[in-house]
Amino acid sequence: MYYKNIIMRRLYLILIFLNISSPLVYSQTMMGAKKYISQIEEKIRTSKDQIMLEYRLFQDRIQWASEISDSFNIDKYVNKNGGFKNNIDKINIELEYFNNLHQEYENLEYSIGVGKIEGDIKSKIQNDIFVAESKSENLIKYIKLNTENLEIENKILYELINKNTKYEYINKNTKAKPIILMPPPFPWPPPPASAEINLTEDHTYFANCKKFGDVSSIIDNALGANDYEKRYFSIPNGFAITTKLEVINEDGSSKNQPDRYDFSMNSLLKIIDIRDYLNALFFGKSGYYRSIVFIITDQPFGSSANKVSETEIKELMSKGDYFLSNEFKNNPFTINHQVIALIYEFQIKESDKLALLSPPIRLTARTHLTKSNIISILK
Amino acid sequence: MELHVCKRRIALIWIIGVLILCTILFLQTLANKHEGHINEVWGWILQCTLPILSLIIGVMTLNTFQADINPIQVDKFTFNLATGLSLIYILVIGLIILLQPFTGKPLWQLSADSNLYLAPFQGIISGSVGLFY
Repeated sequence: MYYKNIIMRRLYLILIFLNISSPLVYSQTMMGAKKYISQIEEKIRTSKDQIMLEYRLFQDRIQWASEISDSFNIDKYVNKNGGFKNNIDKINIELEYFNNLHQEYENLEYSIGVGKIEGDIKSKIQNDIFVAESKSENLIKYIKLNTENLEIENKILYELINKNTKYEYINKNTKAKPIILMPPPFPWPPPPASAEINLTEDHTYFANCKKFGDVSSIIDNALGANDYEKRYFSIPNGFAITTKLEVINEDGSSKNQPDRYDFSMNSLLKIIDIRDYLNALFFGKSGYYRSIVFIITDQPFGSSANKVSETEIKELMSKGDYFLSNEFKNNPFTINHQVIALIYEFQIKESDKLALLSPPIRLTARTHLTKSNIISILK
Repeated sequence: MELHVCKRRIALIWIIGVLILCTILFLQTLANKHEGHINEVWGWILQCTLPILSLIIGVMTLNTFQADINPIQVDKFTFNLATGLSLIYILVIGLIILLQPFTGKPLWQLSADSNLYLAPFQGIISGSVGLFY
């Protein structure tokens, strides 16, 4: 055992020395891994940090390998010079790491791998391993879960998967290997809103809904009838629909086209008569923007501490999906699910460069939904 | 045309003009139109008008008790030039303030942009008006 550890440490030191770009694995318990994946996410965004990241992961891997060396046979894959025997072994070695790790640590909920892969990784993935492909070239993320519980799997995956990444879910219990495409995640818990309302409290709008698809179609109809552009996001145990940021009148009604999505200061307050002019001259122009987010989930939630900005809302909208996949729509909408409408209203003043989130005292969420004609269609 | 008459007329143009401009800005400040940018806006208007206005008022105050025994005659064209340039200068500043609601830009931003063309203009005005004082 002792000598085996020594040999393996040396082999890995040689690998580092040769700067071999192989799959890299890091694993921890639930809390540690969560923290670590966020660090990885940050680092892989900048390519200049890539080498340092790989080096750090290699160091972790050496320590890790020594802990599981009893069951891990590195000699099978590495030749005498310290290199991999072939490219496929780079993948096999990775998979064996996953398997051994899970056998060793019963309480380990998942392990994560990040690294560069040559060849077709998907063809070599085992049944219970998730693969997430980053948009970065050749960068790949592996996730293996120990749990059989789909709900927990979804929660963990939601936290792990990069916002811009689709993942392929391969269920080991079914031969068909279904692919479930989840919408990109919405910031969770959601940022504090200007106003909010629980639409399920009325027991009228969504009483007959059985699936996510039913809820989605009701909201879609209401939004579509009022010419709202929308995007879909995933949230824990549910999904979110966001509307594109629009310019609204002071009473909460939507502006008519083409002013609805014109965020220039001139469109906010058009000067028609002398009263408008004097108002603009002495008080300055101001305007209101609004985005509505429908949250459908059975998980209780509050607000995050981070206030969202007008720019972030605009950016978020561009990342959402245009529609929900049929598989996702088939998820059950249970009695525990709630439909919450969060209103993000921003006020911009002439003297400000950026719009600020309106305080919750201006208009209620019901007023917003009534003035935008959404409530009337929901009924 | 007598010099002391010219001085008074030019002084009146400047005092009335600056008073109107400052009153508008004062009301805007009270209405909180320039929230967070009050210093920029007032700094701009004072920088544009105060040097010439100080010259006019300072010299006129100094000459208050001096007897005007032999009135100096001034060329009418020189006086008209100084008056005309003063009026145009004050009018340009006034237009920046009054037309700002149509521009879509805040006044503090417009004022910063206007420095480019107002600064040389101010130099010409100073030369023209300074001749009388």
